[in-house]
Amino acid sequence: MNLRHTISETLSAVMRENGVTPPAAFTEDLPLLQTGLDSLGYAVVVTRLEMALGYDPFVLMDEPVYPRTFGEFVAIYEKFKDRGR
Amino acid sequence: MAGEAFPNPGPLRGWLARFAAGDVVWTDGVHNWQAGEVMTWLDAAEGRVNSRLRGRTLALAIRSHSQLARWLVLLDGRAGALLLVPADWPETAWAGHFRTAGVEVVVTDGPAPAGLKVESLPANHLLDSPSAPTDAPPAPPVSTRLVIPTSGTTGTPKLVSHSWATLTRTVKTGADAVCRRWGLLYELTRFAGLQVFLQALASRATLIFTEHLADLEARLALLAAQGCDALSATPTLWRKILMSPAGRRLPLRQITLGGEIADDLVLGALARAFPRARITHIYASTEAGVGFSVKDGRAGFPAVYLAEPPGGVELKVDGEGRLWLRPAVRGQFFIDAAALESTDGWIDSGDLVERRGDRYHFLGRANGAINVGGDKVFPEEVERVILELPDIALARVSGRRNPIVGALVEAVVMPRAADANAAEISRRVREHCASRLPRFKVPAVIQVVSALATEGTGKLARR
Repeated sequence: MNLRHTISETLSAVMRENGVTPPAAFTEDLPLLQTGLDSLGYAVVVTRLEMALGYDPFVLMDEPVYPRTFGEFVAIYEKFKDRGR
Repeated sequence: MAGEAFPNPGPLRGWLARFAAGDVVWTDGVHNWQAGEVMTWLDAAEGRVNSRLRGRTLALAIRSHSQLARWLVLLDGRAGALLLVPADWPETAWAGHFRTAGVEVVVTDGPAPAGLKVESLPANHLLDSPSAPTDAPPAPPVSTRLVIPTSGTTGTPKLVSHSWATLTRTVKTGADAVCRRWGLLYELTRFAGLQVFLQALASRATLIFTEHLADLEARLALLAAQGCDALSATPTLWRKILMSPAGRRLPLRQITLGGEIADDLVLGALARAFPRARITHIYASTEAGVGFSVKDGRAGFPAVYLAEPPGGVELKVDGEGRLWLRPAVRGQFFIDAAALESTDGWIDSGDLVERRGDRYHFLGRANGAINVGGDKVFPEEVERVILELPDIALARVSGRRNPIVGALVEAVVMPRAADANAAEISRRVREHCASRLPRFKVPAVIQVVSALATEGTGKLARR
């Protein structure tokens, strides 16, 4: 399964659960703070992704990284995908 | 409370003596132990107890409930103290606990434990080789203490030493006109199991043992076949009983719930399934002993209990909502641990309650709350909401660590139907929780399973 697709689908699902309409397209420079999800929403996204992918990059990383855009968010998951499973 | 003052020390033999010789005291569905037979066994074993076990501290690691029951009656008023060893204690843990309790002799129906520095006695020893009767006058009974481990759900089990006075405080003596056949679903080594054992013996009722049967359905089938009319179980076990075909056949006149929070849903379902039964939920713990019981069929307890102590147990709720108890009869203490009670006699229950109108409701364990980004979630509250869905049989809620908010709520649910669609079930659970709870309490992850385990105590296994 395509990582980018899994992430955008998970984001969309959590947004809908929180009464937020997902954006028409998850573009590289889409600002995460403008998606309408708060920190609790992202906490749920990260946990669901851990269930689906088998790893949580925010636990694996040595230095904390705070993604600002959708592209940066995907990049973090790309970077750690070999450390999962 | 009606009933005569219990004879102390050694009340059990006196209770047994009130059965007619042909009355069945205990049964496991295969063998009926009549009072006369048990008395004969006790008399035969008496000499050996006097010469070897009198006044000593014994551990009883006896899995067979019919054997353990006989040993309890035999040693009551004879032994100094009895440590009840739960079935789920690994043998590797025995030595430490035996040291703590000062055990000198272990009686077991399993293989003799290796590497223990205490004398070991096979449980069937006295059965197989009765001693010759002696002419020596019977020695006066001593006050035997019972050492009961806490379940250890929140850490290492602690040993609580009870006197018969604290264990039998709410046991009603005299024959019960309604309930003649109690079922035992608890382990007899546990506080709740011992309560059922004592209540049956004190009220001259037959006690039906089920521990030799592997699964709950087989146990309930035995209880139904034996005409069990009184049964005590945790709310989790009652939810399973309500789903069981054999459970529905039980001719119950007395239903007792304890060990976990009894909610209106399970109380209502039991009232509908067993319209002839009295329903009592009891608040008790190994540490505090029996606290109080509630008989009006509603969840929680009346706020008036704070002003009018139920059955002599004073209650108070502190500023954090913690429930404290002060029993009129005290005599239990932790062995080798901090004192149970503060100096003024109050025991911290560790449970949080909240007043709603004329009633207090239980929120959950004070140390069991999940911290979601600074907001507290009690697993029990979320479980209760999930169980509002009629197609969910059992639910377990726990915290799952999360790098952003510290922890999130996770739910494991067991649907009633074995062929339920997992995706559909988890969507319904999420939507229902979202409609009833603030966002931070809604489970972020929902797993659908076909079975949820319970512990030896009958409580939902929370790991």
